[in-house]
Amino acid sequence: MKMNPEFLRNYWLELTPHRLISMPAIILAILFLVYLGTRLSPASTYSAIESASLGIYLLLTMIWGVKLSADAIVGEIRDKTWDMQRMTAVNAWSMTWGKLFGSTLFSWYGALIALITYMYATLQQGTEGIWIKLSLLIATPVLVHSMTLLASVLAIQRSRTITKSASSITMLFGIFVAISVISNGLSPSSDIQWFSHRWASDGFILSTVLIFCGWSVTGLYRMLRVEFQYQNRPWVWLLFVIFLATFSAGFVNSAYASAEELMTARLFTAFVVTLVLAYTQIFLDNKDPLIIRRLMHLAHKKHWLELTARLPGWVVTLVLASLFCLLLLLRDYPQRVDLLFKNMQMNTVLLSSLLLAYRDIAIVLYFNLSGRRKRADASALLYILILHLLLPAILLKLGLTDLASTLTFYSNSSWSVPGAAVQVIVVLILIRVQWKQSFPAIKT
Amino acid sequence: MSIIEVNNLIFEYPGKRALNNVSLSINQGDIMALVGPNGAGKTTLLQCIAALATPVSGTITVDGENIADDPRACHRKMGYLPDFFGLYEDLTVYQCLSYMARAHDLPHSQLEDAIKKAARRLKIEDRLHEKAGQLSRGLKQRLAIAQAIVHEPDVLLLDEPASGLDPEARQSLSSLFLELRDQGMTLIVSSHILVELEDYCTDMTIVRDGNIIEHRLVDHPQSEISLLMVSSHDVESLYHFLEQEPGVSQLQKNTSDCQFQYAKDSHEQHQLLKKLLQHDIEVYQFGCIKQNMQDVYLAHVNAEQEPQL
Repeated sequence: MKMNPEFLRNYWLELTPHRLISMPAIILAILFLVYLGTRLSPASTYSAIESASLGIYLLLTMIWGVKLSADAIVGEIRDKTWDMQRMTAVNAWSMTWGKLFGSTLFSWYGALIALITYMYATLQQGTEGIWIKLSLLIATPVLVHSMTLLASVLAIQRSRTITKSASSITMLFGIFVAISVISNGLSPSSDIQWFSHRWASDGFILSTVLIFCGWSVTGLYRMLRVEFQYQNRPWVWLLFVIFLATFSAGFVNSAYASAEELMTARLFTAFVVTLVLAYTQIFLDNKDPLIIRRLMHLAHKKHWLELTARLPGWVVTLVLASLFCLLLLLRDYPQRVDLLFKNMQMNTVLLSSLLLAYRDIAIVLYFNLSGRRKRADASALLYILILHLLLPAILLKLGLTDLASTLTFYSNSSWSVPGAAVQVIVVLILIRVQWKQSFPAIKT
Repeated sequence: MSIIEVNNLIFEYPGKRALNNVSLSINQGDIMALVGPNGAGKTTLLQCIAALATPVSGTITVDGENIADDPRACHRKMGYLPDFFGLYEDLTVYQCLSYMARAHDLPHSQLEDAIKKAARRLKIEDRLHEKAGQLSRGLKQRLAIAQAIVHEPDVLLLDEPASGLDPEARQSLSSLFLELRDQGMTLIVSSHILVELEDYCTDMTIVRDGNIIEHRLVDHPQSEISLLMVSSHDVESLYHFLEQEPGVSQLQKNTSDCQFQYAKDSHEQHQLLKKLLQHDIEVYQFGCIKQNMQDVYLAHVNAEQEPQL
C-alpha cells in the first residue's frame, strides 16, 4: 500500500528511536509513581491512575498536540518549505490527512498509551458510559487539531510573513475549544432540548463533536485546495452556514406563545448567527485587493459562473443573512414576537441591523484596500467600535437620540434605516475613491 | 514545439502592475534565461508559470494543459527551485529526495533509481545519509536542485540557481543544465549572472517593469547583426568612409578603431574590406566582436533609459 508522503515525512521526523522509547518510559514512570502513592488502597489506586492517565492524555493531545498542529503549516512558511510542498503532486485530501495525523503523530503515540491505561483503570470501576467517553476523548482532539490547522491556513492566507505569535494565537484558540468541549462532555449534565426532542447530553455532545469534526476537516481540505490554486465553489460553505443557522435555531424552544412565534424566533436566531458569522469571516478571510480585482475582471468579462465560484465566503454569508432578513420581513402578522421586540418595529430593527453590518464590512474592505494592509483589520475594528459605542454615547449625552439610533443595532427610530443606508453609501464612495488610488491605471 | 505558452498575463499588486500583458512561448528543449533588474517581475512570472500565484487575467498552458484547470497535474510536469528555498533540515539527504519523489507520485519501484540518479547528477551521492541541516550552503543548493528534478519533470523553473555555489559547482551546474536539455527537459532560469547564463541558454528574455522588452535567441548566427571593429592608423578617414557606406549603423569612433553594426554575411564583409583597401585606408585589423548576453542586456536597458534622461 502506498503511504501518504506527508504522513511518512512526519513519521520520519517525529518518531525517532529515542522518542519511541522515552515517551512510554516517562508515562509509565508517572503512573508507577501514582501507584506507589496509592497502593495501600486498591480502590483509590484505580481512581488515581484513571485521573493521572486522563491528565496525561489531555496534556498530550490538547496542549502538545495543539501546539504541533498549530505549527504544522506555519512552520513550513517559516522554514520556506511550503512552496516546495505546494509544487508537489500531493492532493488536498492527502495533505489534509497527512498534516492532521502526521504533524500530531508523536502526541498521539503517547496519548494512546495514556488512553489504554485510562480505559483499563476505568473498566475496573464500572462500564457506564465508557464508550461514549472514549469516543469523545478521541474525537475531540481530532476536532481541535483540525480547527487549529484550519486557523493556521487562514492565518497564512492573510499574511505570509507570519511570526511565532500567529502560531501561538492559533494554539490558544485550539486549547480554548478543547477545554470548552471536554469540560462539557465529560461532566454529567441534564438532557439537552434541541428542536422538539430531548437528547442525552453526552450523546448529543459526541454527535455535535463528530459533525463539527467533519465540517472542520472539510474546511481544512477546502482551504488547502485554495493554497494549491484550486477554486472552491461556494456551495459547501453555503451548506455549512445553513447548517450552523439551523443548528443554532434548534436551541430556541420555549417561552413563545405560538408555533408562528417560535418560527420567527428561530429565523431571527438564524439571521443573527449568519450576521455574526459574516463579521467573523470578514476579519478572518484573506482580503487581498487582488481577489476583488479578479472578481471585477470576471464581472467585466461577464464570466458570471466563474465569478460565482470565486465569491469570498463572507459575501455568501452576507447574502444568506439578507435572505433570512427578507424571510423575517415577509412574516405576515404584526408585532411578531413580543419577547424579542418589545414595543419595537421589527422591520426597522432588522433592516437597520443588516445595513449596519453592510457598513461595517465595507469599512473593513476600505482599510484593506489601502496600502497599509498590515494593520487594516485592527484599524477597521477600532473605527467600528467607535461607531457602535463611543459616538452613540456622545450623541445620547448631547440629546441627539435619533442621530444616535442610526449608529446602533436593535434601534427603533424612524431615522434608523435611512441613517444606516446613508452610512453604507458614504463608505461605498470611500471604497471607490480608495480603489481608484490603489489601481489607478487599470481598466476593469 | 512549444511546451509553455503564456498569453496576455496580467498580475497586479495594489498600485503596481507586476506583469503587464505578458505573452511568451517556450519550445521544448529550450533553456530560457529570464533577466532583468530587481523588481522587474521575473519571480512573479516564474511563480505564475509554477501555478503558485494566481494572475488577474491571462492563461498559461504547460504541455497543452491550462494550469488553472488542474495545477496539481501541471506540478507533476514541473520542478521549481525558488530564490529563497528551505529544506527539511532534520531529514537526511536520502529522505528529502525520497519524500519529494513520493510527493510527485513516482511509483515505488522507481524510487531508488530516481533518488540515486538525482543525487548522482548533483554530485551528492556520498552525502545521502547526512542530515540536510548539516550540509554547507552550496551542498544545500545542490540538494534543493536535486529535489526539483528527482521526478524528471518536463519543465524546470529555477530562480537564481547558482547563488551560493562555488565556481566549480557553477561550472558543473551549467553542464547539468545542458545534460537535462539534451534529455528533452525545458528550463527557465532567472539569474543576475549573465556571463554564466551564456554557457547554456538558448533564449534570453529581458523583463523590465512587468513588460517583456526583448526576447531573442542566443548564439544563432543567421538571426543576428554582428558588431564589426576596424582598426586603422587613420581613424578620421575610416570614420568618414564608413559614414557614407550603406549597411553601416550605430557607428562609433574610438582612438584607434571604429565599431559599427553590419550584416553578418561573410561575403558582404569581404566586399567592405576590399572597398576600404581600394580607398587606401590603412586598415591593420578587421574583425567581429561577439556581443555577449550582458552587452545585449545592457544595451537594451540603456536604450530603455535614454528617453527618460
